[in-house]
Amino acid sequence: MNLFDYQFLAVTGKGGVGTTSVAAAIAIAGARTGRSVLLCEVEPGGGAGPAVGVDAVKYDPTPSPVRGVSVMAMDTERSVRDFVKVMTRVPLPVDTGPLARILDFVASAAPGVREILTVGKLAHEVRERTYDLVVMDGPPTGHIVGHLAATEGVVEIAGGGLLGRQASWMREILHDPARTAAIICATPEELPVAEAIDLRSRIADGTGVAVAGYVLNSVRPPALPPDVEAAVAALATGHAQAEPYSRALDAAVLAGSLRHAGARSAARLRAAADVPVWSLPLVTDAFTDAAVVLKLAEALVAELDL
Amino acid sequence: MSPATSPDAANMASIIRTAEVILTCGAGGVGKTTVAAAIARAAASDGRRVALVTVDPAQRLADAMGIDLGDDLTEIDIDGPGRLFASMIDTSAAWDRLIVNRAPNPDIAQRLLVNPIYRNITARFIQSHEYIAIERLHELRNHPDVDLLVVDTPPSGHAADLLDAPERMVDFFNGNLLNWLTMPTRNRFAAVASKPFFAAVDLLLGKAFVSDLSQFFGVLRELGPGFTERAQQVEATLHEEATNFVIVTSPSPRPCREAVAFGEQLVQRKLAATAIVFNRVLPRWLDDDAVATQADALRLAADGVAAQSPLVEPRHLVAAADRADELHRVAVAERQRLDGLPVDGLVVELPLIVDRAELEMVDELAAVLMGNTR
Repeated sequence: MNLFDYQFLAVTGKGGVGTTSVAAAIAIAGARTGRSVLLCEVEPGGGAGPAVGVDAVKYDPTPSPVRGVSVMAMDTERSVRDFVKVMTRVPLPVDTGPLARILDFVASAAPGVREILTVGKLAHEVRERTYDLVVMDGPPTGHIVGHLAATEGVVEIAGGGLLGRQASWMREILHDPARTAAIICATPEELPVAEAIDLRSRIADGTGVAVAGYVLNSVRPPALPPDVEAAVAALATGHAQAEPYSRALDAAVLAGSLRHAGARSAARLRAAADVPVWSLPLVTDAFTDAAVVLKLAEALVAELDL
Repeated sequence: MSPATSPDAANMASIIRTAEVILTCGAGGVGKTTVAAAIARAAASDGRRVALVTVDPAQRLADAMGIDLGDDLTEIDIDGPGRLFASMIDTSAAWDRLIVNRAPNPDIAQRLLVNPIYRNITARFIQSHEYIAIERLHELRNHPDVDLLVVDTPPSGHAADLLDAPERMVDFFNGNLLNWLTMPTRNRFAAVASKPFFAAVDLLLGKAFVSDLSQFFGVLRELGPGFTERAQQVEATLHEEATNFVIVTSPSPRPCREAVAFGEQLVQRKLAATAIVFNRVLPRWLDDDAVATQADALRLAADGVAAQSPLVEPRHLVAAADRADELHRVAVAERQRLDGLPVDGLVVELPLIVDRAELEMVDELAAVLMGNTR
């Protein structure tokens, strides 16, 4: 299935692997196919705005300089207001201050409340089809299962309330493998790859959400064949002829071992993967978030063969 | 930074030799837990008795350290004169224990532990991971068998998450909302001002849930005074002079910005970071312009140099020169970024280590921390 035929993509990954950049690149690549895309950051200050060239990202979607991409930041209090308005057609009769405190309190005590307000808002956007594709710059691996399984938890514990009653249509969207999928990001390093593989089974076991694939981010170009690498390393240490270039050769050897280590971790992921693994390059020649993301989007378009 | 930790007076090795408590702080994915483990191993190798505490670590890390997840301190075999104990805490188990220890009587503890809502929420309490980390710090602070306590705090870019955890716990138990939620329903309606709260919570979550929740908090509330007092003691531990904050970051732009902000947040709270650790830094010799000029020369001399090896072709050397160039540029950019950061006080750089098992990496970093670089 074409990645951009999904209507809701939940992007997640271990901290530090560039989940936000990947989510933004997916949004931009989706927009390149002519679709309208909403990119939503779940963690405030997560950087989704700068990644698509919007400095101040807020709850109301802001069109980005990239045509077809709008960006928003989740705000569970606004989300709850939206809910009540949509469900009851009357505004919630509470001032902002107390409502925020209630939410803080209840959401910290009741499992799944904050999560369902986040996922529910995005599922609502999917249902309304305001955008062709909604991309969630999701929470890190520790929390994503809680988000994707929020509908179950809320039904179990608070099935009688307004939120609980909304769970069934949300679940229909989240569990539809033709509409919704998770994307797991990793970098080609030992721990991120292990965590990604582990997360794949936790999403399968703990939620009804499909996994579209893995994105392997910050992939270095292939190294030379191992025997050639070894021969270059031998040159760097043993030969008078190579002496004037020893620093360059040392750097090349270090770069080679970085590439080899990355290739091994990537191979481990590919061997364990039962869904596609898409590779995005390590970008070393762009220096703002937005510039890096544009390069990643180009690479993604090429990788998906669109 | 405090004068006692000026770069001249104290390097990381002397801190590791003398500190009583070290907290490692920082965002996720920077190698914080690995650095904490390296600090602990370094101190143990130096002859100290060290306890390393990690909250909710990745299972793989526990495996790599060769211990089981659990509250208890488990001794890890090390070479050298000291001793190393580790505890990898599971938040839910830690909460159970906390409740058993803090409940005024076993009956209250039991009622809480069997409550289905309780089983669901312990891992989701306000900053509950952070609270557990600090709670454990307080508990082990004066352990007779421990000279140095290293606490690896949960990943966060914000000092407030860690430092305010005890206070929030106090607020939680003393707050009006808890009062109100645990009030008998009739009184609740009598309190006109709170009516909209009730309406909103009822509407969203349903009457049944609200009554379950009230019951649950009713029991929890009985923990109140003991818990509040404990949280206040726990908070005081953070402000003790013997408590050292070590901020860990990778050299990437965003973690660096977060690390600097973390240090500023500490200062705002009249605390100070003892050191900032840049982890996985490219080696300094890569910054040298010689790398680039030699790479240029190597491209020109590729034929002659390649002739020295039966396996190496000139094109391999051109490729090698290209990636040497590229890595040099990355190293220079990284160096400029690190040098440009507004950090004062002790700065420690730990090298990028390629292609090692976790435990070997920990040992190598421990050697670097003690100044025994290869």
